[in-house]
Amino acid sequence: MRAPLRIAVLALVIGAAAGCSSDRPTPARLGALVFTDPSLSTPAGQGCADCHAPSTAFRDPESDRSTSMGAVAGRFGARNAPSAMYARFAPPLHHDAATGGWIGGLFWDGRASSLEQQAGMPMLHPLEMNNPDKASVVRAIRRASYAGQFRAVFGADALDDVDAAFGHVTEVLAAYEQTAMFAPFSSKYDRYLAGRETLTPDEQRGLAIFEDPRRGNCASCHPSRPGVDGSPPLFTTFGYANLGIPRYRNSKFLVQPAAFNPDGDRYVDHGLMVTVGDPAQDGKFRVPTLRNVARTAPYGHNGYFENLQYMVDFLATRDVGSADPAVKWAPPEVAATVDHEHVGHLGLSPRDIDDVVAFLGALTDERPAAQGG
Amino acid sequence: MKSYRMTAIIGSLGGVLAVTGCAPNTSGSTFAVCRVLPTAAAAQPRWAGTVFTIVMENKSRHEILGSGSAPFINQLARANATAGAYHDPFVHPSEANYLWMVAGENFGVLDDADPASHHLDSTAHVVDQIERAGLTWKAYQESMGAPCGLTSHGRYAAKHDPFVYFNDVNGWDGAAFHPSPRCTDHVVDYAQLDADLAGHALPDYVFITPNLDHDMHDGSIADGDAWLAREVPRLLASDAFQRGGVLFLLWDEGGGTPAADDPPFLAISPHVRAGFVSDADYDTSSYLKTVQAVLGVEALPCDSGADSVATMDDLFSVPLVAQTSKTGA
Repeated sequence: MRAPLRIAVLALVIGAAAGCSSDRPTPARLGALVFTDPSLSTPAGQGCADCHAPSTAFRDPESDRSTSMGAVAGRFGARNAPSAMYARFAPPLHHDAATGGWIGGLFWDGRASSLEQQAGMPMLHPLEMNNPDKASVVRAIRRASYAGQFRAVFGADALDDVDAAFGHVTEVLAAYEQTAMFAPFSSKYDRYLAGRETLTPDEQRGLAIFEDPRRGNCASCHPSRPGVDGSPPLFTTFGYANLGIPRYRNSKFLVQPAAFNPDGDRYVDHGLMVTVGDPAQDGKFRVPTLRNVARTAPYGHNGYFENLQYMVDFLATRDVGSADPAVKWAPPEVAATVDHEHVGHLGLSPRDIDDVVAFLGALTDERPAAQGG
Repeated sequence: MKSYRMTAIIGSLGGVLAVTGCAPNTSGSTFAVCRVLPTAAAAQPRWAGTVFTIVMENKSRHEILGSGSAPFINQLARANATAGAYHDPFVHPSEANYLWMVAGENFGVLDDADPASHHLDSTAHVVDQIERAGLTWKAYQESMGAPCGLTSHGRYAAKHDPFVYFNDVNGWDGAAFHPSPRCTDHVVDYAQLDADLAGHALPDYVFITPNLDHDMHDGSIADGDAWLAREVPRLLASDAFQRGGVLFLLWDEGGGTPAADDPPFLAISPHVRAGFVSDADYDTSSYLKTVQAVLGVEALPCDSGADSVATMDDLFSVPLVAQTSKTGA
């Protein structure tokens, strides 16, 4: 299933190159090539784009499974691959004195503080690209058709030293992720904010609920208005919360060998607590941007929610029960830190929920165009 | 249309790569060009009973057959016929497989997006054939609620409801959906099954999708087995089945990995070879062609490989193509 995605991504890369005035290699262009290169896994066959495809807002297009499969067939991670879009705006993880909470970082648990640091981790993770060490990645890069471009950009000895070369690899990936392709701000809602488009009545009602502190109050964690400097809203504070998401019992991570999951089906994902070593952060995960959320199913750190309506219904009715008779909310994976203040009993009707979902659909960027780096 | 063509092109390339990169794929091409169906099909002999299909999710044979978590399914398998080498059409994720079940191809669709993202303008899928042959059909979708569900919600997944992707069913006019009775009368909530069973009003072709908790997608194997144990007996007791029907119980894809495309497949009927396990190289196209044979309609004209696709004859104790019309096999 991965091959067609790779073709699609390569087409975009080729388009990007064609759209530029110069063929001179740049870190971002190199990053695009690395991003789509399936030879950089062990065994070969999986590139970054396989779990972060442009067609699905740079997340895993295999939405039928809650988490992504790694380069080794049958190996699945514990978490839902997040979209790489707008990731560049995440500040390094830090404790915020004003709010008393943690903010920033990359991954669901904030353990990476920069795009560069983040980019290197999946390559060396046994449940992801499964390279045993940096040297194996660098060997693959040396064999790649674009190896010469690394030397052109970083010098003739760019790939000689393993640590330095691996650093170049993560640097170009970060450069690629900082291109406009990953943050186009081209959604219908952006055009609405610019006065160039109107929202449908459903979307307009959804926006009102989204922003109303007495109703959805979604904007308290997913700010929806431009900043004081006019910067477009990112729809995340980059903060952390435990929404009370249940364990996903069909997660393929639960049946991974003990070497990867010694707890088996009793596994509990402790999220931010592991990163910061604070029990008060148990079960908390980073608040994701809602930009492109309609294209990034499933939802939640463990992919528990199959569709957007189901996710919003959970946030609205977790503590009081869904109006849908087929829906019965299971208990949270981590109960002690569940946020009962902002979510769980929003008082929204099924129609309100549908309107919020309609509004969220307006946050979908236009499909990636050919854009160079 | 533009997005459909784009995905079709990508999908066709993917199909080529899938063929070269995987085991031999007899399922045809995602790039099929369909002939137009005749406005009215000549009456063909067919079985007298209803053709039922129930589709479960994401399990390999070894996870189900022989599993202590699935006693009802294993009881069904022992008493009926199993396609022991069945495989999906090597396309993923779910949506592509469901489309294949009703059209013999996936139209280049390689994701699980709702109908708003995929507007299939084919008029050569199985329900077109069924209607042209003067037969009847319904898709019973558990937890869909209002008929003709075009968006996923709660425990209903549009990706498991292939019919709502076809423009000639959902009424897409290039700008908006305009569901007509063709959709709202035929793609109905599963609760409608109660009334249709009670009223002896089951159509000739029944496609059942359990909800995400019951089809093993989100629920356990035991959950799915328990649901089937509740629901299947009343189908098998229906006159629509008893007069010579067949129930195909299949899973859309294998479990685990894309490389293990080995879902279970059971054929349940008074006319199967009880306890038989076929080792024939059957796939989703074989299933569709078998459905068509039982219904007395020809293999889909958009299936370029139709002649090379085998019907699942060895599962049955009678010829798949009925010898006389409406008399049953």
